Amino acid sequence: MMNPFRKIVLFISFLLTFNCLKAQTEFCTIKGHVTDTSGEALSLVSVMLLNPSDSTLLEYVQADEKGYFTFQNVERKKYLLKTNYISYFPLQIPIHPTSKILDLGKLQMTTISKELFEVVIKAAKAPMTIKGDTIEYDATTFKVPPGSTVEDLLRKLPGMEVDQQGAITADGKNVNRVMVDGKNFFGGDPKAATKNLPAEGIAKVQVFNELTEEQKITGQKRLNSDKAMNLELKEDFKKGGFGKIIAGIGTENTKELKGNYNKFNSTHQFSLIGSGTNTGRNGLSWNDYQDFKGSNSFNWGDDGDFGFGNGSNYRFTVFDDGDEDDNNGIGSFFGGDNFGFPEKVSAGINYNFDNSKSKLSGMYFYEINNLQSDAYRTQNFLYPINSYNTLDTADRDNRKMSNRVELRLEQEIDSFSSIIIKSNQSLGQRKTLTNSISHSFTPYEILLNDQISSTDQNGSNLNSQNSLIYKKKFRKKGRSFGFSGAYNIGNSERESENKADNTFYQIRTNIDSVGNLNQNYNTDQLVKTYKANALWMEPIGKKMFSRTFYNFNHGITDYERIVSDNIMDQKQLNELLSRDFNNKNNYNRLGQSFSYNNEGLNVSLGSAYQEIYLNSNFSSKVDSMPIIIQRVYQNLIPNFEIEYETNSGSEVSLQFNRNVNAPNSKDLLPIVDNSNPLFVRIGNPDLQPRSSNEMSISFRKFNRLKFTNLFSRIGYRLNDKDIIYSESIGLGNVKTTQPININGTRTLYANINYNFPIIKNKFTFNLGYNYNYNLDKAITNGIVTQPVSNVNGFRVGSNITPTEAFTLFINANYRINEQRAGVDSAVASKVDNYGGSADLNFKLPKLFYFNSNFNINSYSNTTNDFQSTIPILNLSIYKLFLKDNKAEARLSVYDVFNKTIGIQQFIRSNQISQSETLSLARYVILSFTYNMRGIKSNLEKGNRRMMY
Amino acid sequence: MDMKCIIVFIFCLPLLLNAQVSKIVYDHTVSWSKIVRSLPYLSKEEKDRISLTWGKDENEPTKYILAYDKSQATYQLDFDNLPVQEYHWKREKMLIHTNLIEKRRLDNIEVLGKAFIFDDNVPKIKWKILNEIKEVSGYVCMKAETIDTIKNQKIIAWFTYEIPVSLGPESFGGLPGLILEINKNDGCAVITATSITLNSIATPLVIPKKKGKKMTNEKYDIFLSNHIKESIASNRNPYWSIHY
Repeated sequence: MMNPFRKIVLFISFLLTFNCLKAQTEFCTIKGHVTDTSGEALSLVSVMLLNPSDSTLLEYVQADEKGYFTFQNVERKKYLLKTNYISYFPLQIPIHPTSKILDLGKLQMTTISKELFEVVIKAAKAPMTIKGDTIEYDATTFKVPPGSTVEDLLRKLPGMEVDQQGAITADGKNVNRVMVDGKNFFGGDPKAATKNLPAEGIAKVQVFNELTEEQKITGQKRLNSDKAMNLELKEDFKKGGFGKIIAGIGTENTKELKGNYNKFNSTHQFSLIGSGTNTGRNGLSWNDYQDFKGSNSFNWGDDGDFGFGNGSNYRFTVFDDGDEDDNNGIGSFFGGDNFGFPEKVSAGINYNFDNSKSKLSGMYFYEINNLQSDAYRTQNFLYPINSYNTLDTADRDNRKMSNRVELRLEQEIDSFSSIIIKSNQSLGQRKTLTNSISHSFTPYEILLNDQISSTDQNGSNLNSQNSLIYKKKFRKKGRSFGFSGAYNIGNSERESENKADNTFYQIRTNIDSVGNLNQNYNTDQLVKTYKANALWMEPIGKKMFSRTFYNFNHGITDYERIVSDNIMDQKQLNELLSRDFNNKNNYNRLGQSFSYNNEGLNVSLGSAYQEIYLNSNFSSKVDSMPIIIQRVYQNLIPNFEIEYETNSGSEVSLQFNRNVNAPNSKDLLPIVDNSNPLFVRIGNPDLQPRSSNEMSISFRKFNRLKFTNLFSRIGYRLNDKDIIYSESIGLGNVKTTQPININGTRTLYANINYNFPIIKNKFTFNLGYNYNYNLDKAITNGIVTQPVSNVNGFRVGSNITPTEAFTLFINANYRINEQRAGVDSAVASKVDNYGGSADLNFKLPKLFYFNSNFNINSYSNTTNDFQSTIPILNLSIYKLFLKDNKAEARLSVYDVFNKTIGIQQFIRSNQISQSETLSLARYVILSFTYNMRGIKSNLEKGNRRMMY
Repeated sequence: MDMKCIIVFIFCLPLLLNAQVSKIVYDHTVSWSKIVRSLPYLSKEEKDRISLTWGKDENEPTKYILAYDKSQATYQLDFDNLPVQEYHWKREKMLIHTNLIEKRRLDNIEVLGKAFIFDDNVPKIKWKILNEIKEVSGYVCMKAETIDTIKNQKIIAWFTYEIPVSLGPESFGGLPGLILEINKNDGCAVITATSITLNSIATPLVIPKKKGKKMTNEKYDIFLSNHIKESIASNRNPYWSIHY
């Protein structure tokens, strides 16, 4: 309630202002009486006074029940008076009150024809535009069956007639000309347009009197002139086509070519893509992927492996033969840096059909991926006793080819259920030639052994993945059911010629023994997997959900390996190493979780019971009886997640989950694999599944007003019955490994990142720190050690973007990796890595642009006194030209200092590895781009990809 | 019925009669791909990419309720009909509260992590009345247009003179009839009345508790327009973080 004093003050001030205004402007009263054409009063009509120049609403009143209205004390000036009444044409008259009272008398409103009103407004719900006493309306809302032509649509429109031959009349007058978007369609023949164009593409139908050129000039109108019709196409229906092509040629025999073309309308998308490069740069990117796959780029919910809320799905390996065949198929769009000399060719075609009920997509992708490399590698194996180092050089020629076909159909069955059917097929071939020389030394550089080897490997693989997902919703909101089934089959065949000459030395470089290997391997592996999953979601009240799921997986693996020795150009079956293996496994998981979700608080608690059954059958040519292993592993898997989001954009989450992975079947086999004389593997039938328990807490604060972003996470993982490979180093440095379970390996990780602006959108900083502690276990010649590693990583970066014409991005990072052979070991090996980068872009006059990119990386390793710093500078200058900047010419120099070399360092358990790979270094390349949609000229601010 | 009940009923009767509440349910549908395509800093290529990838995605409407009696009006989420889903984001509060007698804006709005309580005059919107009519939810509506200079939106309103109340969804009003549909920037967001219940006494108007700092129209406009300008200048989409 307003207090009485305030009320009085308000009243007085109101009177004062009122009087002041009155002194300046003159006021008047406008009144009138609204009736229909027969003089019948129209009650409660709405009457408005508009500004005559721009139709702005100034005043409004409602007429009384007898149609009388009065505007009291309105400013005396010109108005547009407008009345509104249901099923009448709005009446609009300019008025100019000159005296204190303006009585407009009777204002007569005309009815809109009943047909028009009922059809257009009530049935089609189409907006009507009123121009004097004619009406235009939007055709989109007139429902015609899909596939109808414009002619079918016109038949539905009131006032429009189409005869048997397709001749059109509007309001009884002939329509002689049809235009599409104001342009003549096929010579203006009305039938050509109306019979051929699909109705669903039309936004508006406009009919107007046709004027001759003479009439347009003189402004004369013929009363009986014919009509013309304009069909306005829907924005999203307009046929689109775009594409681009980039071609470059340079020194060092470098070449790049990339192009794509898209054609689309509202239901069809068609695209082609092709790329070829031997620089390892400027290949296909994330954007190219999206342009290529269009509306089929991301299909969330295609994962039929139902489980706990997010992630934590089961994982288990059936048989891993170290085959790195890539079944993913889209990998070529996201390929990272390849060290060496790459050669990549890819081409694809994609088609998407998408109406509201069905989505169909088909894709074919072809790829050649070749990589030649020369690498030099040092490895340090740190043991309490018998530590050793290896040095090896390898040249490798790897050639891969793959074909891939993907089909996907998503069909809405009714408003409650839908089905997704997917089928992906791939066929690939690979050829790898490797020549290598390797030496092993004691830490005091006494030679232990040498190996000179070559392998020639040919392989092919065929994969087929087929799945079906059925989803159903119910009338009860939130209740849903999902079912999925899958059948996958993969076949891979490999043939390999291996030659190795091994020389073993006794102390003081006397040759002790010689081992030569000349073998041929033929492997054939067939894996079939059947999967079935079901999910039931049931809401409990408004804030809780119950989620029940069941997963079933049945896998069959057939593996055959035939090894023959090449003796005097003759192949002789090696019965000891040749073997057959088949494996059947069943996986069952039944889980239940409950979640509570309310206003930013999401809690989920669940548990699953899982059973893995393995049945392996192993036979070799020498054993009379096959070895059979049967194992059943039963585990309970808990899962807990809590996420809390506060008002101000902060979020805290805590997660606990447990993962259980069954041992690899091959590790279970009680056999000795000595196919590599320097590296003997022994299986362990007593292996238990390894499980990891992980707990993590994360915190995030995003201030949308200040553009600051803080993210931090800390987690701890404790493994139970972890599987490690115990090693024993024998005579001549032959290493024998066997998988065993061990408790107590653990990892602690933490990171924090903070982004903040100093000056918004001009000068921003980002800081980051990460820490990783890893306690491992290693068994060497029966001695258990606990290698410990500590990693500290720091990062600082800044984006400097003062104007649209200048951007500079600077980053620096430092990473220290410290490794101790045991928890209490005083000697630490250190592997450090620091780096920095600067990316400078600016705009020059006349659409010239400059880009430079400088990267420096430094690597050091205390164990073998390695130290290398690699500075890479890339420069390019480019100019945009042609209309809408559709073309670009660019001259680039990559690696100005000619320093490129691929360095990789890693440290793990008791092993430190570091390699250098010769790679394509300095080259100059001249490239041209033509982009049908124009090339964006202004410089990026660096965060666009994240934020749109 | 015991005596107590009757007394309570008799006392409440005038209140009930006075509190005839009208309720309009609106569906608020946002098209993210259209919003993103309206961002000035994206190239044609990027815009096409977005519409190819996301353009066909369907957007689920959120339900809001406009309720009014003779003295006040509220517009807020339809809390009884929130989508039933397993994950709940934190929603920013949006209570549009208007005192119809004194024409005061008493909104309680959470935006960009801050909560505000308004006490200011209802802002006057400069509407243009256009010559178009169409039907929304059984009522014939007329078209009006305005420009929201703060959020850079072209607003089309469809109001019906059959319900002579100068109200509408969100803070839109000031027309000679109830606004039954709002279309922002050619379909970036559409708010359409789906159910209209006039003068029912079923549930009296309840004003939820308010929490926040005091705010005026002028300060709020500056606050919002700064955020939008800064975001656009840094190539960030401002509309992720504010109600569209």
